[in-house]
Amino acid sequence: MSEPETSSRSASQLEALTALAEGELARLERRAVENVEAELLSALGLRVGSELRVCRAGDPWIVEVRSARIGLARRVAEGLEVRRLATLPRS
Amino acid sequence: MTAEPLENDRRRPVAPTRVLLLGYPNSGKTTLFNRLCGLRAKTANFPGTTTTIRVGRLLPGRDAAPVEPIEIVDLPGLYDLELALPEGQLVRQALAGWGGMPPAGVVLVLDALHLARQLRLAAGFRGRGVPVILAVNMMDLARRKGLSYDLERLARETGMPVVGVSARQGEGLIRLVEKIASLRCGAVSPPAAEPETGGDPEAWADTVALRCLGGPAASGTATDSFHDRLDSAFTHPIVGLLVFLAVMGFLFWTIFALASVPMDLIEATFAHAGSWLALWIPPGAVRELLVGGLIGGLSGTVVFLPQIALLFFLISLLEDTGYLARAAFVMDRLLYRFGLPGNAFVPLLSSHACAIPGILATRLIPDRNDRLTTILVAPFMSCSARLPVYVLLTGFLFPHSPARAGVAFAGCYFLGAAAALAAAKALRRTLLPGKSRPMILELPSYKWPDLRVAVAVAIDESWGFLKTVGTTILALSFFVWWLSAFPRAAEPPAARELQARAERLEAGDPEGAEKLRLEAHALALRYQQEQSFAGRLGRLVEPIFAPLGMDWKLSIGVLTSFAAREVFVATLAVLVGVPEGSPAEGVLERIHRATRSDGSPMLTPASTAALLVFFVLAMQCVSTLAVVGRETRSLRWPLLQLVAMTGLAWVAGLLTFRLLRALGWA
Repeated sequence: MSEPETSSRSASQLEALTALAEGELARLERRAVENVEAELLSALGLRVGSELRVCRAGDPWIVEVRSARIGLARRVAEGLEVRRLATLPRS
Repeated sequence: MTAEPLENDRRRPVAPTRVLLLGYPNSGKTTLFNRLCGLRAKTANFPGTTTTIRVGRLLPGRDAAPVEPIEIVDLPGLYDLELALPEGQLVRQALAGWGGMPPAGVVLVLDALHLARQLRLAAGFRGRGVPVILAVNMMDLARRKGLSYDLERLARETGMPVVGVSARQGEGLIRLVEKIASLRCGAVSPPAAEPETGGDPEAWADTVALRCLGGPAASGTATDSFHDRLDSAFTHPIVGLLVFLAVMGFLFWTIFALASVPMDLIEATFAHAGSWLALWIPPGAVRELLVGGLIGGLSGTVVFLPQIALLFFLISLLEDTGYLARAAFVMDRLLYRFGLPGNAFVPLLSSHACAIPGILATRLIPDRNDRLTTILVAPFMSCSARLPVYVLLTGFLFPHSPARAGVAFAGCYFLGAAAALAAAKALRRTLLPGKSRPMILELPSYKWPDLRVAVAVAIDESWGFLKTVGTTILALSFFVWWLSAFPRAAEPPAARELQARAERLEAGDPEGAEKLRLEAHALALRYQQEQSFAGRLGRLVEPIFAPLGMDWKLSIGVLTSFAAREVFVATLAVLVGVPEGSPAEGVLERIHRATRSDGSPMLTPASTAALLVFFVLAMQCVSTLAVVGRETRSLRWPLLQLVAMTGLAWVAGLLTFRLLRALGWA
């Protein structure tokens, strides 16, 4: 596994992506995944500092980043730590 | 549109200018390629479907003479130029140039609905010295969503010429063709090395997209909520699985229901062709070679074409709707437990038509062990070539109960899939240790499928199947024919006696005479088979298959079907002495009622079931082995596949035979 990639902010309020509910907005703060997965996540726009919306909670986790929907298997979602921003009500 | 396929141009051939077509997956790149070149290629919606580079040609002007042709290369979709994945390596090689020919430029296709994110890819071309044209695609869909862009400003901000297009509607293509043509005379300069906002390509892409945006951004709308609900349903552990089973059930039902008519037509056409050849060519080795070897071999291959074409047509439609990416996650939960990656789903699904396109589709599985495991277990999935054998043997097992025969038929598919999963698990614990890579996949937007693309995919895959398999099977059919036709045996005395009796009866009872002639012919055929190399080989291998309840004829059937499974039925038909011109029902009935040398039935329920299990599990396809050897660049893996699968099939067949005999089913 690669070295966890973190942002410069405090990690005190970090939570696993898997703790978030559908509709919640969050910022990606830390990625503890293999290098191959980390590169692919970056290419898809899921970088440390990216803001995301949880479209589906549960295996697979589906998040929206920069208008793209990305499906993540449980093993990847568990390695992503985020900071909650807000919750968007469903229309 | 001014594009013209090169094939239509008869002017002096000159070296082409090469232009690369690049973009994110699902950016509409391949649809644009089809529009520009009039050639067939598939849309890369999902890793595992666009496995080869497509090359087409475009002539931008008919009046200027002589015109240098432009070669358009359609490369797999990618997210990042530097990503260490197979498609990234392929694109980097293409940019460096192959065959001593660097590209004159790149057409970078960007989805107008996701411009900010996809512009990031454009930043990667800075400083590479390659001219880049930005084709902002799906402008029609963007307008419908209320998005608009200032394309002139986008060109100024990026330093790259920009053309707004809609590949599906054909909008903006003339301007794009003109722009591509201008690459030949160096009218487009490579983009400058340093972007305005420094080194962060994402920040640069965001800034540029924001400056050029002329309409409201469509996000956080009711559409997203609807998509969320669809995604939740399609990937749900129970609902998603039920939807998946319904979709797959409909897919296979459609394939079997719709393909039967063209399959019957193909068979009838080849049968007529065989009869026609038999009329014109005098009896002898040449006629047998053409009718038995050429026509027999070709029909055995081509008859499965409708199923293959339909499967790929339907897969392409499903892919285009965006559903297949969601289905991959449903399968990932199951496949992961057995050490297979979620993106093995499409290769394994394709293997139900034929293992060869399935194995080729594994090329974009990035992890070596994941890919090897998928390649090694793909032939367990029941391919079309097994169908005639399944139909024949399940019909023999339950001749008076179509429902039970149907369950047995479905059981064969289930047994094959279960064996594939178990084999994958065993491989990941022994030869290919480790867990499969977790699924990370962009989920494309839901949309109506493009029928033109689906038809093009079906044609493309069918042609590839005919080219790859047809030639090999044809060569093997000739070989099997030679084995069964040589050395030539003299007509046996019993057959001569029947012929003599037929001649004596000719005047008084012509029908009886014809019947005797057919019997004489069948006898001579059987004698020829017994004396041929194939017959001798059958007796040689009979001890190996005898424990499974097989006699020498069934042993030859199994042996010849190592060339191609569909040869089995034809081989048995010849071995049990089916005379020329017999109706099809007669052929099956004769096989069913055939006896051994001691007068006992050739096929008992126990030996039929054992044979069926053997066919489900055995590695009986030389073409697949050849493709596995080529794809793995090793003899080790195809040999392992041959020995392990056939060994497993033999043991399972033996257990089936013994069990059923113990239960009194012999």
